[in-house]
Amino acid sequence: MPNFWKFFLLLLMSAVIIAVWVMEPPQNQLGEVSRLFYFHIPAAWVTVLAYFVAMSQSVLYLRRKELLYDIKASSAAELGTLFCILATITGSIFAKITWGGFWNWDPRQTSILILLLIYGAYLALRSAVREPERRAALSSVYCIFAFPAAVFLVFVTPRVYQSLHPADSIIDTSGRIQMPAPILLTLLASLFCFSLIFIWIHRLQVAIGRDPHREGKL
Amino acid sequence: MSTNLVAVIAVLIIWLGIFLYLVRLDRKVKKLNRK
Repeated sequence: MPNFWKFFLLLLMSAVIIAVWVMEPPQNQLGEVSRLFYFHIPAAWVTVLAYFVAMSQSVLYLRRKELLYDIKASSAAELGTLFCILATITGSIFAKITWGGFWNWDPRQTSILILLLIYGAYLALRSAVREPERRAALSSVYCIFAFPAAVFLVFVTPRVYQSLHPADSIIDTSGRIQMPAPILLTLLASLFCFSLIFIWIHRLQVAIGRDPHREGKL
Repeated sequence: MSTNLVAVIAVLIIWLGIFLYLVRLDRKVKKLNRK
């Protein structure tokens, strides 16, 4: 049954949405807004996942010189940027409630802005080169160098500098998972659903990107 | 509680909208693939 997983995704994501509002907020001191946690973390996770897919497909393009890998890489980078914007918006709503303003130039906020600029430049580079092979080669090299920067900006920078962003909201300093089981289960289900949604949209984007004439018919 | 209920229904409707849009797009892509 090829469409079984789509039906499963519909049910599981609906269950996650209901569970998010039925359960107690994950951090009582932050109140209702802390429910955003179940969407903010998966959006950030999919950002890193998408940029990793973009980097690995770029490596494959440089090795095999097939434009399909370039389409896969660019589609993943576009989706990564979309989820990064979602993570930034949900994060700034948190910031408004906890830090008093939507934008505070906190190391976490600054690093996510730099990340958006890096991948914005990737998309600008792609739109500036007309010849497909040349565009694919240039953007693949750029994407391979951009991914380590993404890892550094997401995981290292906010921990090196003093940040207001909680670093131990899932795993505490001793390396243990510190949240209650229902919250952890809902978060894991949300992470799984977001990953499936990413894979689904990515597949569709690649199918459309393989034949540019198709775009006008959709 | 009533605000929460409105929020749940609103988010569920948004999710259903996204899901149905993706299903529709999926069908169209498959149809074009067959041609």
